Amino acid sequence: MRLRDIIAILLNIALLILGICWGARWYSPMTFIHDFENLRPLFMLRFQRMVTAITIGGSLSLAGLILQAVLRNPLAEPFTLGLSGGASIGAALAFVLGFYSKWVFAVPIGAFLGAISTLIIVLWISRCGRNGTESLLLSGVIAGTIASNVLVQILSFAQNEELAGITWWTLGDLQGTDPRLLWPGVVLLFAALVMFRCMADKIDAIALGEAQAFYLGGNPRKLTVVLVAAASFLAAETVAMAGIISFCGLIIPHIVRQCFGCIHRHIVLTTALWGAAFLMICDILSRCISTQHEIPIGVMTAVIGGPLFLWLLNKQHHA
Amino acid sequence: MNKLFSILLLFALPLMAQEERIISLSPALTELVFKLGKGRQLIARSEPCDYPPEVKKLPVAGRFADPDMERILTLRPTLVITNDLINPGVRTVMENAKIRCVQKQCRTIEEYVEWVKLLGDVLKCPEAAKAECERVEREAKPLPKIKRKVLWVIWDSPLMVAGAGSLADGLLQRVGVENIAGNVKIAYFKSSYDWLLEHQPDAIVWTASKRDNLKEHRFWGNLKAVKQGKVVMLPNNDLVQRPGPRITEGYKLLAEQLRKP
Amino acid sequence: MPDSPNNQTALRADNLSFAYRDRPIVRDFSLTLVPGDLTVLLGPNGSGKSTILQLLAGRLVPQNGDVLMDGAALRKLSGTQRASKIAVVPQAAPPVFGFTVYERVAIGRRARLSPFTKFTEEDEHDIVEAMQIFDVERLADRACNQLSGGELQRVMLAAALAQKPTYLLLDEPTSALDPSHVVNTVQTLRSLLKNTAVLLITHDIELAANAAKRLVLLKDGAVIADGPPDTTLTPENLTTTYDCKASIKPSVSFF
Repeated sequence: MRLRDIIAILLNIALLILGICWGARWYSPMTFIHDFENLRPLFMLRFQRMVTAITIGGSLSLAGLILQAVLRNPLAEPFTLGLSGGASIGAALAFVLGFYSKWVFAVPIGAFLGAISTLIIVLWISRCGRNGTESLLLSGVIAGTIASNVLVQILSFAQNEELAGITWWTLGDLQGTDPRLLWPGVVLLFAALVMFRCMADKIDAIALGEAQAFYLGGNPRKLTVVLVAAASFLAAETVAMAGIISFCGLIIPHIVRQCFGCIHRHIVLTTALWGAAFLMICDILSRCISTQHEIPIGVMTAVIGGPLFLWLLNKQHHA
Repeated sequence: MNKLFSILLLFALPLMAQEERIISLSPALTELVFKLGKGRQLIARSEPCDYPPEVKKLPVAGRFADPDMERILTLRPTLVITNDLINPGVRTVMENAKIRCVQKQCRTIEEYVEWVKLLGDVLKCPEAAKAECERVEREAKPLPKIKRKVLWVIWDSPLMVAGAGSLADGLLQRVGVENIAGNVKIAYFKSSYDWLLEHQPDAIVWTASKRDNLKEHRFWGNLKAVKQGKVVMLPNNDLVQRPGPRITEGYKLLAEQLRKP
Repeated sequence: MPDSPNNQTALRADNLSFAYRDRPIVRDFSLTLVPGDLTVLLGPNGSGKSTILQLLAGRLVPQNGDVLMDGAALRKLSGTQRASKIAVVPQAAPPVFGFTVYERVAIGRRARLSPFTKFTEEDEHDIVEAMQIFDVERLADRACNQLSGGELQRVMLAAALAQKPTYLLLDEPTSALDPSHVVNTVQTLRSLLKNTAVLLITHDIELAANAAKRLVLLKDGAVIADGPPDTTLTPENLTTTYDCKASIKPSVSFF
């Protein structure tokens, strides 16, 4: 464990405590300890929300890091492969067809199926990346565009009430996450961390190109498929938990690479930790700027992440 | 002479027989047209229009605020009424086809009353319109205020509630209770569980999808209104969500449920 | 070069044929690389040099024939087994991400190690030595995607060297180098020969003439001549290979 990771973990713990104390009303940690029985519902609510932020922030950043390395494209994001489109179609269908009112799990499952089937189509069109990463990325972008058009079509079929649900869902929502989905998400994040750490050297190699990956002892096609599938799984899980949250998967890997280098065995954990911290900060701001009227988390990440990304890009350009 | 008379009559007949051929693009307006007794002049409806039941036999000419122009042009209406238009450009298309298009927002009871008057003038039945206005004012008159805070849940995931300016807010005011989210000047907005735990409502109106096990929900189960069973779910949400003639029925149901001690 | 017995340290290509769609690229090609050899594959563009290199590295699978590494079929070996013996320097392309020179060379070394092992002192030493040999140590903290073509080529050579291969396959490794670095590179390659077999692909006849211990002339995927440069580099062979009249004159040489 490196010093910077310990610092990042401490920062995460500090943010977790801040997020539990701060909300519609401030309670000091001491109040929570002394009066826990009364504050239990509030504690559980805020605790769960912060864990959701940690899980989603970590998963999205990791997925972004891996997709960028595998596709050798710094602009790749969990959603560049059209996953967001696929997931939102699945979710929207679950809303519109009325499955949601019958079964809570229908929306996340719909989102998941949508994302996975988009992935399969994209991988199939690009022959599992055999035609080069450009074709993979291009298929992804096109699938995403088609999906968003289909989404508009579905939205126009929906009644007002359902429409509101879908529209807001596409901007992300951390408080609605079902606890039955949250803990599997946490497990998945840890599993992904271990997996990516074990494959870190291979990820370095594939980031250098398919030829290099092969000469350094890897099987580039298998690596691409396994890593892209794992990253998509993470991304689909976050979509299922909280809808579409942009920018997190794009800027966190950028910042981490800029600050700590590109060697993946050094930055896998760091990326997850910074992603978690970033989303916690965004969430705390989104619910504490105006306590009654929440700012959607997706708006918050875009407002903070967008300018940050442009600044980074500019700085890189001048360097 | 006889011949001349017949020819004159032939020209006059369509003039005499001419009455508006109406297409409504909003369920509330469809109901209003029937309420004013002009239901048989309605030649097509929007997709969500479902009341009165016989309206479902009419052809569909678009979705809410979103006319299917090709259908509309083949159906040859003289009047299209709508609350809103997703694409304002279609107005010009209708004007070019000599179709009158009356468009006006209808989001509150007050706006509904204005619509009744407007449509009464357009359809030349001011008496029926006046009667309907009076009926609404009589049957949905503002009740004296009681000290009770109510939360109106439009959608529960994500949590969307009704703020100031919404039909829901107007109904709550008329019923005489306080909308707990009425201080936010946005008709429908995303709210936070956290805030609700700190500012608990006395009762909840639930027009989101039905949930049987609200008491066991990890968040809703913590609210005292839920624990005490003060959650109002209506048999038909259209009664309180559609600014049409049946809004008075919704008002009656809400008043009964929300004002009982 | 006589055939080596199967169990001996050698990378052996037996009667390889490879066609892309219906276009044959390599025809009945045989070659054995043993440590101590510096073999140069010389031929015009499109003669199948790069394809042969990829066949020998296992990246392409021949339609006929087989590649054997130390007696075992290359395509049946695991990636780690393959990478701990064979290092390849492909034609240089800058990486997308800003790996530093040190990191890039270290990645070569990683191919031999399991995911959680740290570098030993020996590893560190070899990495630094590889950077010193190819004169890139002073660039250690520079990002690879900001280097010149020649610097990048040297970095990739260093990375391959850090991999400590038995078989080193190089595809035009000196195309962007200045003469002094070419000389340096060839000398370095020669100094490695005790434990390493080197295959160098080039279309630079002068480099081939001066560097090779053994020279293979290639045209349209078939071998024209094979042997020490003195016997293979004849005007007749060059004329056949390059389809234009050739004569041999002594020239200025840095070697």
